[in-house]
Amino acid sequence: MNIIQCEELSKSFGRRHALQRITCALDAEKIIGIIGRNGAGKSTLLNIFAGYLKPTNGSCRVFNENPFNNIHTASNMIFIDDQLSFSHYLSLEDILKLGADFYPNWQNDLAYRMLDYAGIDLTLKHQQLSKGQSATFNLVYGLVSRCALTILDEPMNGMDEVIRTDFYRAILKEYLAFPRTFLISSHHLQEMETILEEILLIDEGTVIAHAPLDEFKEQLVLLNGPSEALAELLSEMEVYTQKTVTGTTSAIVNARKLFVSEEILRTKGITVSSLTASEVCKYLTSKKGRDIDAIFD
Amino acid sequence: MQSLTNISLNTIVKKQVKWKAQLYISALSSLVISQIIFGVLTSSTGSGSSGHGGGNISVQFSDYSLDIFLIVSVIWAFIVGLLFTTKAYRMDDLSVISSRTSSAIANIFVMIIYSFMAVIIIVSSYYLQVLGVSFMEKKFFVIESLFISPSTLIVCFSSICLFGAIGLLFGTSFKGPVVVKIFVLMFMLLALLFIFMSPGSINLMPFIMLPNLMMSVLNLLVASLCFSLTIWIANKSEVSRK
Amino acid sequence: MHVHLDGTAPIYIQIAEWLQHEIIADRLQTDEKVYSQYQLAEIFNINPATAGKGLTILLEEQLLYKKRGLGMFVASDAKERILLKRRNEILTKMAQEIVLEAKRLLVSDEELLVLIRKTQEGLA
Repeated sequence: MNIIQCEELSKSFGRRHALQRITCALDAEKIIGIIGRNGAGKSTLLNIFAGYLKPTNGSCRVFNENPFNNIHTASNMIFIDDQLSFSHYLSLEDILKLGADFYPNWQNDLAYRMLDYAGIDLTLKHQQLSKGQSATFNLVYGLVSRCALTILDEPMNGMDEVIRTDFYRAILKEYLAFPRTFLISSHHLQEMETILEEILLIDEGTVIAHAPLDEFKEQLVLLNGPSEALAELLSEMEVYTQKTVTGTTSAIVNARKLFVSEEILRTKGITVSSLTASEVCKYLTSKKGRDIDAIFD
Repeated sequence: MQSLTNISLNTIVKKQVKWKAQLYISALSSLVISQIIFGVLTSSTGSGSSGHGGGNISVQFSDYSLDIFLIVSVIWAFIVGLLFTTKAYRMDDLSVISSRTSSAIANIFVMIIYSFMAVIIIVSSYYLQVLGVSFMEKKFFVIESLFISPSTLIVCFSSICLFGAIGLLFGTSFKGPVVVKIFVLMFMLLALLFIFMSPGSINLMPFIMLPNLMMSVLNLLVASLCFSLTIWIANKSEVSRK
Repeated sequence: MHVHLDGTAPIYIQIAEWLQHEIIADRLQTDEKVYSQYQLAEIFNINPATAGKGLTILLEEQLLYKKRGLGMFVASDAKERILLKRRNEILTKMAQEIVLEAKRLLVSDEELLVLIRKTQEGLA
């Protein structure tokens, strides 16, 4: 079942086109990674899902309703980012009471246990927290509210590595305990790759890939072998990047257009290896043949 | 699929009013403080005074009234209305279930509640001032009207409400859609132009001299109009992070 | 329990291989219930859908069978079939790699055979 459906969705801010003709459908009860480079349009898209922004063109439906300024979608959704703020008069403990008053599935005990684990003093005010602590608190707030749609926009910004690892696991465990839709945008794809089911890759305001994670990873492969043996093969393939060092060439190519079996390649001395999801993202979103090396030549 | 919760706008607004009324309470203390300051400043003269001297007797007539307290309160209400629409307050709304509409309605209710409280503060300030003056000045003769008529109270309430409403409307307009912003700017420009071109023609006296009841009704009508416009604009507004 | 995965193969394949390994090592025996996709998700810190894919591979190879509402169980000849498959597929592939690498390193056929024999003796 679709929880979010976008058709030909565009959003402009003045002359800047943040999103252009996005069409996508996201299933309920999946953990989906919203990936893209800085300024690709991830946050704008998430803000539209949350009902904060209105599409310039096209439509967006959440729970089969227009989310813009809609109290029904708002009551089944929580949007966590680093701009989340709370009244300066409330201690963290009071903020938890506030959350409990509004969100019907609120888990107060869990919030206390998680914040205790993270070593956050509940008598503090939200604005007294460090950047990492406030990110941790916001994430806990988002998790214990147990909303059918939980949007986490760069939730781990500013957290140290240890706590990041812990909280990716916390997200997974919460998901197992109470299945819901998680949309997580992050720069740290490598770290959260294993807990994702799907990936939505956005570049320059458009969706350039939406697939289960394994399928996504398998679309590109790294070929490695003697230059002569590879030259012929590469001439008829889609090559993303290619490098030759002393007669050995390595190239990243589209796996769907590789029609020669791995066994045959191996006899020619060519090895095929897989890439990590973040490497695939990198090559799909960088202009073909563009390389940092080129500017030094 | 996990069942969705169905919470009505009413419930959300009630919860928001409950929290906002508690959290913004410092706005009321700012009113108390400003009333005390103005009360002390005007306690020696009242809002108007006249002296008479003859021989070695000098008589000072001081006229103490609610006016000064009311003026302070309406200015306060306008500022509080604006304050409720500033970034910090709007961002706080995003951390709970809310929409721009629910937040606007909640702000209006809080404004109305605070207007009630402001009337109580005005009256207390007035009596305190009179009490203070009569305590310090040994030679005094009181003074005809310690009784404040209910119609005066209603005028106070409706005026404070009106200015609060105008504050909310202004604040909301500037965070609203571009069309609204342009409209408000044009309106303000025209109003300024009008005042500048014909300074003599604006005469507020007929308005001020209106009977209490008519003035209250007029105030409340305009306030309701501002409140409705505020909700209408909020309903069309995106979340502004500026 | 929290087990780390560190292969370069896709995670669902690593899960399938791990389960096969557990069967070979007799930690999962015939007709015993195997982990659910949610248990695997918890153990390996992975998405349950990925874990499900790993289980599906074994189900399709009929190394596991499904009891409606109860979960998946180890098939009676699973261990033998895994061993046979490994012998056929994995050993062949490894042999191919060894021969290719030996060629690249200019190791003669005799030298390679001697090396293998020595390795066997070393492990014996």
